[in-house]
Amino acid sequence: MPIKKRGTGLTAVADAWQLADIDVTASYPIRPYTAVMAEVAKRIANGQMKCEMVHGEGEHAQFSIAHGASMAGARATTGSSGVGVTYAFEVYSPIAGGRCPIQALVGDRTLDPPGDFGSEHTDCLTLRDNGWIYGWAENAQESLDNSLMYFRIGEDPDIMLPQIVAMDGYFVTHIAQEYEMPDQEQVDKFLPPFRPQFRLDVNNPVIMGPQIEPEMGPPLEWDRNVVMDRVKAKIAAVTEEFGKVFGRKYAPFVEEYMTEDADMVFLLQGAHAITCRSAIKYLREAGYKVGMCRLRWFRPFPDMALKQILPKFKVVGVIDTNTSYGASGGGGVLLVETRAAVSELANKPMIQGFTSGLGGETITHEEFFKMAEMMRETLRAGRIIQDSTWVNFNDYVEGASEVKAAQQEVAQTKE
Amino acid sequence: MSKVYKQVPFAAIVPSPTVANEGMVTGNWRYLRPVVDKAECTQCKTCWVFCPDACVNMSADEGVSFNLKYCKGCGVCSNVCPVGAISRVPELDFEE
Amino acid sequence: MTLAVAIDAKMQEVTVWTRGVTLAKEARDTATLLAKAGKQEGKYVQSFDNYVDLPDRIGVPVKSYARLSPEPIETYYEYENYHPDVVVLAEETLVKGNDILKGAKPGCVVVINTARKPETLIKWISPKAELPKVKALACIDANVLGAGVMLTFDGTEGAGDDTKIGAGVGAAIAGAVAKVTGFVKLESLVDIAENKTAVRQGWENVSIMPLG
Repeated sequence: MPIKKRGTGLTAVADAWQLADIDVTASYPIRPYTAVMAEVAKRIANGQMKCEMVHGEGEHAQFSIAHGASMAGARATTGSSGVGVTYAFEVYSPIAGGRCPIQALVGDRTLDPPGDFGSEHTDCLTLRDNGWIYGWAENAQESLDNSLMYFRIGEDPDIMLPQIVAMDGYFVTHIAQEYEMPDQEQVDKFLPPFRPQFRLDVNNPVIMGPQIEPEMGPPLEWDRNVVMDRVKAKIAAVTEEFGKVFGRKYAPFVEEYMTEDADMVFLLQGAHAITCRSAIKYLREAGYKVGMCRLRWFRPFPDMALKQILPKFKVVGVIDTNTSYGASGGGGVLLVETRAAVSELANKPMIQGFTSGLGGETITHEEFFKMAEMMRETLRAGRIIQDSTWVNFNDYVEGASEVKAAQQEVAQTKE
Repeated sequence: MSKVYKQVPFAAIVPSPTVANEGMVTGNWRYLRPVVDKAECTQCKTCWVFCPDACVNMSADEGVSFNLKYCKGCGVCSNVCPVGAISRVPELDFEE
Repeated sequence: MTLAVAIDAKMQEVTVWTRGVTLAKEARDTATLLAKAGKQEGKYVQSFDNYVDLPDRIGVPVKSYARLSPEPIETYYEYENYHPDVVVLAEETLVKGNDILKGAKPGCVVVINTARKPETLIKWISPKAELPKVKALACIDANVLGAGVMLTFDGTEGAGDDTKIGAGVGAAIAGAVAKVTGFVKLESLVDIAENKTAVRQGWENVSIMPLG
């Protein structure tokens, strides 16, 4: 029987790892990732989990340990946050290129400066070009479910790619909520044991990650490119099967909320979707025909799904909880990717960007209201008024004036 | 109400505190206050050496005194005092 | 532009102040017990620790929160209770040098774990301007009830807490808060707390001084 539990995204993922019977986990503490290693250590000590826990001397070592374990045929996990994620940067491409399907948990944390504990997706988005597959969970239940689905997709013999279960630090990782821990039998049915075709074995020696000839590079990379396309089909199939086995149905790529008759939609990912739904309820009462599209995957980017969904709307407000300084449009990564996904469609909507929730700030109801108002201005004008708006900094609607003073104060530079 | 942010200087470069850091006042961590018995105190400076937060002041006229704005009340001074001159008194027994 | 909507208008917020490490578990238990008891009575609830405080420093003032509402909580992912209905101090000295009434709702209640008389503590409560909002000051000497204090890092930083909930002074303080505020019933607390005697003793021994 599945167990109703009260816990956080971190305990939920620890539950998933316990159910998946992982062989090796590599740890190194950093907020907000820390508790998952505390939780796993506790379960090993209590005899609930049988797993080798190896403590790295830093995140670079941590990911390397998981890499090595995976090469030896272990189901290996690790994880980090913020600057820990970026400290391990060198090893992401070798892990993905070596087709080692380890799983990492990333509880987002703002990169320095200012050394903020709060969530910002930038840490995880910086490694978007390295061949890992990942997406964001909005609550504890989804992080548990994602973890199981990711193992299944990543370890598939046709795929063999590392995955990141990403979630907003503090919001999902630290706030206790209700979730359901599935039954071991269900999981065994859904997730077969990890049996890679190649592994490090003294009786049958192989070399993994050798220095290859330059002419072999591009074909290898073509292969990594092709597999990303295969992942999309696999995601659709696995999400469907997950619903059948566990009874929880997820949209494979993009969750739509109140979009049937919507003129405008917020497009976002992660924890802020919770407040967004609540804000939409009030906005609907006030006559705004607004909905929400929540991305369940970031890599591979759900461009095919967006090509189908977005032309239904007139205005799309992409909310970026990340920074990509100097990016096209002046917003964040999601704005660039979303615009690129539909750029060649004749009936594409107007797409504007909002940067909000940086440094772990909550995106408040009022900020959602303000964004909706700006989207309505765009709708009325029939054109993009401002490519990218940093909420509370360069809002272009009435009512934003009271923050102008604060904004000017903030923008002071060295004199 | 819109969010009001704090002013940030260029690249968040701020003057370094040289004596006391107003951004991190730690006196409210304390619930037992160190009190020195001046008659017992030999002014050996052991507490001055050991205080982890440099909160023991020594002066020729006044002898030992404590910087209560930052003293966390950890009790190290009281523990290391060779003549037992420093006692720890509940903070609420003092008006100030 | 802003919509004139009252979000979480009926939500009751309890902020429990305590000391890092030494008394953190007990304060978290107080918040957890109140939330769990509320849930048992059919309310929507939430309890969490402050994320921005420095909880691994011994003696540092830290906070735990509980929230109870007859309606689903709409600001579920929040950092703190911005408008507490109840301010609880798990250790008496916190009354000195901390702005415990910051953002408090009119008619709020302050509950302090102390052997001292309520009237001797009022002078320290700050900010002073908020004092007229306080309806009552309640004192409970939970430390002498013999429940003890549990020291553990279990349950911190988003991990699960496998230790007993409400075994020590935190249970007595929860009992006192329940009596003063009426947010939850005594039976609900007794039902879920590990130390049922402590809850009852907290309920019985709290002394309440009405203000204003």
